[in-house]
Amino acid sequence: MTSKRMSIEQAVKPIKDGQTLGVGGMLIYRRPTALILELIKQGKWNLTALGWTLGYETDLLIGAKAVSHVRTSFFSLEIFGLPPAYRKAVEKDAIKITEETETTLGIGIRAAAQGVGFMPGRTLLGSDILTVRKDIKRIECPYTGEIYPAIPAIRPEVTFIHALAADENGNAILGANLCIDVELAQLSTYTIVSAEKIVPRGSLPSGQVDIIGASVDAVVEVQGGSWPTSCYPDYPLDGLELVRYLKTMKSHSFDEYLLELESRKRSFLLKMDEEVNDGSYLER
Amino acid sequence: MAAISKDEMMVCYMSSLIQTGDFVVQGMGTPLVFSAFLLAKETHAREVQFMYTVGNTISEHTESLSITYLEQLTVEGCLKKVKMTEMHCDIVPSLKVKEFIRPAQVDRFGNCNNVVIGDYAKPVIRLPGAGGITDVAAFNPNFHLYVTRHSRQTLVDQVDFCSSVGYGERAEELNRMGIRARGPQKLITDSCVFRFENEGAVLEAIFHGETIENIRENTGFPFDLSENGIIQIEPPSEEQLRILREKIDPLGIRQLELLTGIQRIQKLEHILLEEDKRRRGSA
Repeated sequence: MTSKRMSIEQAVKPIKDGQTLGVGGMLIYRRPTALILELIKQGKWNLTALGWTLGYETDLLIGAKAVSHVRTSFFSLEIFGLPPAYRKAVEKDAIKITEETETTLGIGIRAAAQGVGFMPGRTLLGSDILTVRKDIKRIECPYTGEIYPAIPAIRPEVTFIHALAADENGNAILGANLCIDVELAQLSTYTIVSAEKIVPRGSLPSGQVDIIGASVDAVVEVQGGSWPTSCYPDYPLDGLELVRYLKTMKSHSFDEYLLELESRKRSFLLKMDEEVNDGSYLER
Repeated sequence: MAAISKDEMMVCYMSSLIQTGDFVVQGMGTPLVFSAFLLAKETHAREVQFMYTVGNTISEHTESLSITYLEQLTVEGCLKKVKMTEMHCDIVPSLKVKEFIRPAQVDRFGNCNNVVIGDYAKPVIRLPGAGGITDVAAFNPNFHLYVTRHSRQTLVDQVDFCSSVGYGERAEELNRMGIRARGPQKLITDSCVFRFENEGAVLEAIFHGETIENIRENTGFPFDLSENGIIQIEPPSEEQLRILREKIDPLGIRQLELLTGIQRIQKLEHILLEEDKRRRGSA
């Protein structure tokens, strides 16, 4: 079988301006930050970010003006609070939002997987979400006569996922926070998996694979590929880096933050190497 | 022993609503709720099963609160990893799990807002979004609301944007669908506890040291008083405080829910540095 392994530049290059990007990971855990930074480096723009939750990684895309539309149920840095670039963009009316809930996303991707235009859900009625989501119509159940919102199918065009380990075919292990990564990979026409390590075919533990190779188009090896979000169990969340982000966005600018990010990632990798060597890394 | 703080009173009250055998959701960014679950587990509700939104797991394993190691806590020793679609579209609607939800605004019918403050088209503050609250409010009869600051900014006459439906007029369409056993049960604030009835909020209990007069002054919606009299909530016991302060949350992570702006960032930094120091100390 041919290998899907390539460089990060090669993997990200086919992504076109204006596409809908499925963002893997959950909250501030295992987000595909290395792929996101490459997207910024390549100057892609006018993208739609789609995720169950969006956070630090998409805030970087908004700071870099690469994203002009978001579709999510929850855009937050979890316990770290509101994401500064997103908040500023919304308040300046510089970004379009499609208001989602966990059910509109969950049912929407299930409809897409089935190849149908919608699925009904027991939600939204009476709320203002239905007022701002003018695309969502109501439908009568042919069996009970009840009225349900018809949740439209949702499909990302490209997807970024960071994995703990993958083989060259794209079979991958996610560790924790599965979120909707499996669905995003399967629904996209182009899926990139970055992985902490690429392992030989046949060496992933049997029965433990989360992402199947058939749903993956490109595989990239990136150590620290989800830093400063976590990659359980290889490294935990780097909360101090998130604090630094919040502080820099208050006192300086996004560009200044971005400028220093690469050198800080290098020091993170060095520190990780040292602590892995002396066995102290995941000690609590 | 140090004076009892408002977060501690809330945690102890919320823990009293947990019973042994409960299946609970630990949601996103809610360490106050996690403290309440853990306190219940340490005192009167030994058997609690968790659905952890961080980690995406079902688990009976718990440890003391952490920011850096929260994910590790939820994944290590878990019973099962689940996808969010499975958690939210299959398990939550089927099993009616117990949950505490924090709205940015709430009205007397329990309609909540977690989307925007101000006009939707031109918001003063953009909030994180509805999450799964819209959905849970539409089919779950087993959840409570809480707010950490009892004020007219939070307890409002009209929510700026209704992201989840409680009772009253807004609930009519859901009721017509035949989904009547639903909606929030109680609203817990740092001053008192309301319960919801079809006609609106009813004050049923107040925390030690609070007065009904003071509560009326700081509440943006009208409410009735419970016909059975207003319960005075007992302050936490020394044993509860000791467990909470020493075992469950020695770093005071729960207090983050009461802080905003630069104070919150400073507290976060302090906790993270402390966690790093402890880790190095144990290595």
